Amino acid sequence: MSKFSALISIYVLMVCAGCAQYQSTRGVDVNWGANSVGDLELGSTTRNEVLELLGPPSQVISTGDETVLYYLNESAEGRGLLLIFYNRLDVHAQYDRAIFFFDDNDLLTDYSTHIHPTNE
Amino acid sequence: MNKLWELMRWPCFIILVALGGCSQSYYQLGEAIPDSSMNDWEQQPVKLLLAELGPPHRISGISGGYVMGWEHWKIEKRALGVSLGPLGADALQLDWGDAESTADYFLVTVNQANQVTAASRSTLVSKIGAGIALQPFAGVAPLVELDDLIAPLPQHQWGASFLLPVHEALNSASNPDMGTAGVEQRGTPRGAGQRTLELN
Repeated sequence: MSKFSALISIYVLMVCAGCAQYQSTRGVDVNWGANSVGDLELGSTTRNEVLELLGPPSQVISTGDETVLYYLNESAEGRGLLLIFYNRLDVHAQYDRAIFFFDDNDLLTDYSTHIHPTNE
Repeated sequence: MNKLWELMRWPCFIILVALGGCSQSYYQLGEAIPDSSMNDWEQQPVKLLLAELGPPHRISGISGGYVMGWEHWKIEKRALGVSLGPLGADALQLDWGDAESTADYFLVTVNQANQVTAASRSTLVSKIGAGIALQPFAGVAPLVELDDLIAPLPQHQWGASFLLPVHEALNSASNPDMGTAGVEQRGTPRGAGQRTLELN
């Protein structure tokens, strides 16, 4: 192998060496699995019971006489191929979330939850 | 074969050096919005909607009820940087970039009786931007800006706007991030509307 070919081989090996993987998470703990919210009952569960079950929410919203507790956990996963000639980055963000509506008596009127299948 | 290699090795080497970098970035934010969102939801109880779509990504109280938004974004960014060194301009780099997105957004308004009063879904495929630049030594200035499109949801900053500089904090009561003044889609220009109150 000539000197030039050897240099090219080393060069190619060097530039093919990079890759990256990362994950980031923001928000509250995901405690709203089917097991934990299965006992909630519309019309009888109080706001205090939901707060005790799930902790402080990401957001509290007042809509006239009603109150909304919104829980959010945002997680992103990224994978990167870092070559000098070609770089590729894939990022996938997913949102696990739960929302609870309470009337002016602090009783649960409605709720909905979602957990991404890969996090269940 | 050897003759071909003799002929091609220098052009190959020059191409390898000249192609300073090519990058592709893909972002997927959230999951696809179910097709059931296209149903006629007007006057339907909101609990049916929540059972179909799950909790919304954005929610805010508004006069006479609240508004909820679901979103799904796909963004692709491409960039290519080429050193002009082989052409004799060692100090210059030529950069090119563009980006496009597919944005799916479903907005619903709900009255105080928890009935859907209006629903609207839009799917927008658009070119976010493109640029070309001749820059010294290395590409420093980004040609396509994505930060406002891939920012985290505003719930994480709830209440934090009271700690912003005064000209922004004064707008907190009307800030879409606060959950009491409507919702805002990603990428909404800040040079018009409510956000203009926050500009320096």
